[in-house]
Amino acid sequence: MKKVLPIIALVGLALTILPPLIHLFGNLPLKMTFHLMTAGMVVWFVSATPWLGRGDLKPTDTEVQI
Amino acid sequence: MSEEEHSPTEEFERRPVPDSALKGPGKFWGMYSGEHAAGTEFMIGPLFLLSGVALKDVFLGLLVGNLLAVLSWRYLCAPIATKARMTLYFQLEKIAGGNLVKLYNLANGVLFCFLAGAMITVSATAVGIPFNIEMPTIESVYPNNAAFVVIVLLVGAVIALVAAKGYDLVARFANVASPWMVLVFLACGLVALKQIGAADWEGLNEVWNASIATAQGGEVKSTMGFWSIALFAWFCNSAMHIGMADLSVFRYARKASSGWAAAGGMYVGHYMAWIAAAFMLAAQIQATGDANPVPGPMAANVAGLAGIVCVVVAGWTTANPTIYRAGLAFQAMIPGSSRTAMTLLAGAVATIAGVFPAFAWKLLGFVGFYGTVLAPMGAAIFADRYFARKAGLLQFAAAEAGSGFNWSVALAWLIPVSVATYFIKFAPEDDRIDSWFCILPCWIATAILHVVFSKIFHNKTA
Repeated sequence: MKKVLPIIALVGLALTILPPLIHLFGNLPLKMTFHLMTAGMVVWFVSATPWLGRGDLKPTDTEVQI
Repeated sequence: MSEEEHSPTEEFERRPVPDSALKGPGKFWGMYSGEHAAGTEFMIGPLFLLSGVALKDVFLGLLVGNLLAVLSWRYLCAPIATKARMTLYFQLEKIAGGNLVKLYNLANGVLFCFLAGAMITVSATAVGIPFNIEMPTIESVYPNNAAFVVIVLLVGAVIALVAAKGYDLVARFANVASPWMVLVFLACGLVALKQIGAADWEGLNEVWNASIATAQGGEVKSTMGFWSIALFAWFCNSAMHIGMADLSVFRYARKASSGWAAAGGMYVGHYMAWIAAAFMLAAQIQATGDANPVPGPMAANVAGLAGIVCVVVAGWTTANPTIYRAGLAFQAMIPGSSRTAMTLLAGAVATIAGVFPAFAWKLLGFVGFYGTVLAPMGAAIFADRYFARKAGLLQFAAAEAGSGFNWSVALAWLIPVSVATYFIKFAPEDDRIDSWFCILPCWIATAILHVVFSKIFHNKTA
């Protein structure tokens, strides 16, 4: 499972960025772009949370960002 | 426990980081690339457009300004961090004294509350979309309807309560969310470009100028140019690089060259994300004529539900550590107070600030003022490191003298900051100076005054 989660998570990221690229350079309709991005978001959070959410916290994790 | 032995969770707040806890450059590239795609980015890019900046000045100004910021991390902050391997606070305590650090911390905490307030406003603009509430406009100083106030109070209460429970959960969530948020920013920019419909640079420039004209009611007046953009980009994180707050980060770096990792954060968060957010507003103006830079609706327009969630998450994950840090600052000021109570107090102040959308609309000036107040303290550390011995002065004067309040540092910090505050906030309208122009002069003045006052006062080595 440890090896599969990063792959599924990357699929989530691909679903987040590829539809807007195809929308810009191709003919993917805006609504479909939104739906695919939403699916990508769900896939990312479901698979990346057990993958990335358990590691040690880093020195920057409580830093204030601008 | 020897110098090298430490528990895996030790944060080395009161001693130098040992060699066994040092990290390679890859860790820092990973950290910075994800850490600067935050809630503030949704506001900053659109505010450039509303300031009437020429598009080429945005692209070139950000290129130059972000490079200068990276160089500041690499050549000012990282070398001191890797030599001393101490946090900003521990190093400052040795130079300025514990009581002056508390004062600096208080200033930090108060400013953090208002920054968090702006981020609560940002999140609330997205949370309010399903409820179809009326959003504040760019003219709104005060909230323009009760529903928005209720949403802000609810969002602020949740953020404050979570922060009061500790940073662990949200920090982990932010780590999970950051790669996705970076891509959502990019996606927002791509879809906005499609909506703008420009085929080349000329077309893009035309739409950009038309958006400025629409936003400014027909006349085009620029209040920011190339140097404003470059200086803003250089100094919006000045508290972290020349202000030395990131000593706390780079003290873990094996070599000072890890300072280059800041480029990941700058060119992802402060270049791509700012420009993407600016295009979101340009697309909105072109489509509807609405020039209000309200992040929730802007993101929904170009990224749908993913955009709305991204605004909520970005605002929340920025506000959360900010309130947590402010709570710690207040706790340090009031002996015996609980961290939970002080975090809730900071959360309450931030939430009240969040009710007033003007704090979000004035984010550029606020971020510059934040740097003006906090960054000069880094000059005291810089001067102490490089000039103290050459000038025949004691390094770490407060620690050597057992003093809790080093007047040399206090005056060197407060005099330039007071003068700058007058010109930023209180001078007659025509004499006022944008806050991002004040940061470097204040920093240099503090470094010089620190040495001069130390010479005048007592801490000579002889």
